[in-house]
Order: sequence, then C-alpha cells, then structure tokens
Amino acid sequence: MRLGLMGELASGIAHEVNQPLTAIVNYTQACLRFIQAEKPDLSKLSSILQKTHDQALKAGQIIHHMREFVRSKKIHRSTADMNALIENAVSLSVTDLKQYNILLTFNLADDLPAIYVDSVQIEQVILNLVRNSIDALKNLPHNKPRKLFIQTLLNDDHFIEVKVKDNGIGLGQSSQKKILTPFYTTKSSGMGMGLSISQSIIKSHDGALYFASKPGKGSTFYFTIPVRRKSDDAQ
Amino acid sequence: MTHNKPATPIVYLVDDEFAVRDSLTLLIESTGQPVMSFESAEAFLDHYNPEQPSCLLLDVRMPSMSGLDLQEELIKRGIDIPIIFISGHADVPDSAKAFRAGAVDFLEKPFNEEILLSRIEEALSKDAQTREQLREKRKILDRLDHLTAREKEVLSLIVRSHSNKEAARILDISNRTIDVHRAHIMEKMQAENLAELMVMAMQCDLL
Repeated sequence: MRLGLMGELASGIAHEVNQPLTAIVNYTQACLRFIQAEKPDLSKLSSILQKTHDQALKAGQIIHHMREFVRSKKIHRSTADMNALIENAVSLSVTDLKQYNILLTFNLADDLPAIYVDSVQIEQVILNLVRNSIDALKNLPHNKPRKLFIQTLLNDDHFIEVKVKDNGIGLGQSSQKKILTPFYTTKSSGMGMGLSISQSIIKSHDGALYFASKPGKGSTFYFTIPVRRKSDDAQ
Repeated sequence: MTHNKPATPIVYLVDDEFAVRDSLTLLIESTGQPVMSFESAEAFLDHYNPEQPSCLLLDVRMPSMSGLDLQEELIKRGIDIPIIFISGHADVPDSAKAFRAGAVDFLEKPFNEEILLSRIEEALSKDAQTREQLREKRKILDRLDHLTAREKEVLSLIVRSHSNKEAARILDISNRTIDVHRAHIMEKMQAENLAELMVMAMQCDLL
C-alpha cells in the first residue's frame, strides 16, 4: 500500500525524532531547575547542556538521513502513461470524493507522449495532491460547491504538466512559505511529510513541483515530468 | 512496639533509550527524588526489591519484554507497584489496556515536567498508602496469631454480631467463660471496643 508506506515512514520518523526531543525537553528542564540553586554547579550544567546539544544534533541527523533516504531511494523506471497513472491514483480516492460530495472533473490531453518513471512514486505524488485537495475541500460550507479539477498537457519544453486544482480553503501567506518543508502541516492530524516527499520524488525525476494558492479561493498544485527520451531506451 | 521508619521512596525507571533514561533521571533527581533506572524490563525484575517504597515509570515499547508485558508479569507476581506509562506513541489500545490493568497514568513523550512530577508524587503517595494498609494488616494478623483456637472461634462469632449469650450457646460454654475469652481477645487485639475489633476483622478479610 502506497499510503501505508508513507504513513509508516512518517510514523517511524516521528518516533525517531521524538526520542531525542524528549531527552532535550528533560535535559533543559533539569538545567532550569539546577540553575536556580544558590551556587549552581556550572560543570554539571555544562555537561547537561553538552548532552542537550548532542541530542539536538541527533534529531537533525535523523531528519537528514530520512531526506537522503527519500532522495536516494532506488527508482524503478518503466515506460508509463501519465493519464493512466492519474486514473489509478484517483481510483484510490473515489470513496472520499463521494463522501465529501466533491465534484471531480478532468481535462486530460489526448495522445500524450510516454514518460519514463517510477509509476508507484508518481502515483503516490498524485494521490498526495488529491488527498490534500480533499482535505482543503471537505470543511467548506455546505452551500459552496466543492470542485476538484485535474489537467494534463504537454508543454513547449517537452515536459508533461499535471495540474491539480481545488476551490478549497487555500493557504495563507505564512503557510505558503513553509508548505513544502518537511514536518510542516496545516492539518491537525498531518505529519507534514506528504508535499516534501512529493517534491523529492518529482525532483528525482528531473521535474518540478510548484503551486499557487489564495486563502478562501483554493489552491493549484503543478508538477512536471520530462517526456521519455530516446536515450531512456538504452537503460 | 517498634516503628520501622519507612525507607526513602524511589522512582524506578525502565526505558530502552539511553538519552531518555539519562535525561529523565537528571530531571527527577533535580527535585531531590532518587531514581533507579534500567534499560530493560528483565533488568528491573532482577533488581526489584518489594520492601522498597517506589513507583514505576515505564516505557511502553521496548525490544523483548514490552512495558505492557512487564505490567502483566508484575500482576502475576502479586507486585502492586503504581505504574506511570511513558510512550512515544499516543496509542489508544495500548493506553486502554494499561489503564484497565491499573496504570496510574499514560503520558506521551515529550511530557510537561509539572505533570510528570506531580504524577510521580501521586504514585508515590499511593504506594505509601498501600504499604501502610499492608503494614496495618500484618500487625493485626500478628495479633491474631496470638489468639488461642477457642479465642478465634469466639472472635469470629462476636464480630458477626452474635451476642455473648448466643456465642456461649453455639460453642456450648458458659456465659462467664465467654466473658473471659472476650476480655482476652480485646486485650490481645488491642481493641478499645467491638467496633474497632470489627474494623480489624474487615481489614484482614475475616468478614
């Protein structure tokens, strides 16, 4: 399960980072108490601060490793059709779309050239964007239509462009700055990993992921993937 | 009568992660409260001293024996130590299971210091209470041991609200003998009156 993998990764990282974080919280609280002593034991304080520092570095390392992992994850490329990947990914969200009364429309270009990608990863990206849109739409007032629109096209640079657009709650200025950073989330139950992982995946396919959003109006996410090149055949 | 001064209570801490153990130990010790930490449930079981007033700060997920396994094992061994679980995951089934088995609390890491420290205080006072009750019970059982077989028979009748007369009739002895037994019972049990005697009987599950 793709979602399972993502969830597992997120939960694993959360647990890993939580350990040093817990230690840091405890160490700093202990320091704050020791420092209140009449004659604080400076060497003790300094040793605890050193430990705190080490734990913070450890937390950073865990995140660093995780990003490396996502980046260097072996890509199993094969020839694929973007429109088919979209249909596969969307089929996994049909239940939610129905449940939240979301109207999904497509404008998929005919005769798109083939791409040479890791289909599982690209479907994961599409699924992630669709799920984000669903989350942005599901809390709209009932009288407001909930629209999700997915488009594909071939651009002049021989990249296939995928556009996922919703008329949901949109993102505020400060969220827009951070939305692609790992662990940043606007959701109460999110891990903040989906978009940063998606961006890594698209980058590793030599594409780009970007977005435009207006609070109260909705968000549009785009990503591009180069069309399959002649040289891809040799691989 | 000798009053054993209760030993200083200790916080047992079991967590497989060194940094969590080390930092928690420092934090709790900063309040003057002694801590003894272990990296596994097995190591804790090896060192646990039932005479030591204590509470247990226990990680849920550990390799080999988990925190919940340890809780089960302690119950099996009849060890009644107040347990505060500490967990990296807010796992509902885990916490439900822990609470059903009598856990004092279930804290998610990282935790608020004040909450943690006040839970530890509560757990230790709960332990002190349990131990006090146990000491009281032992004292009474000890006094009971000094009663003769006949006195025990008389005791079990009078705490069940039988009058002296009834007791005499049931045991087929004279009222006067019952009076003597009764006086001995009150003296040996150090009871001022029947009500006190009944409370003692209740504490020792005689009623």
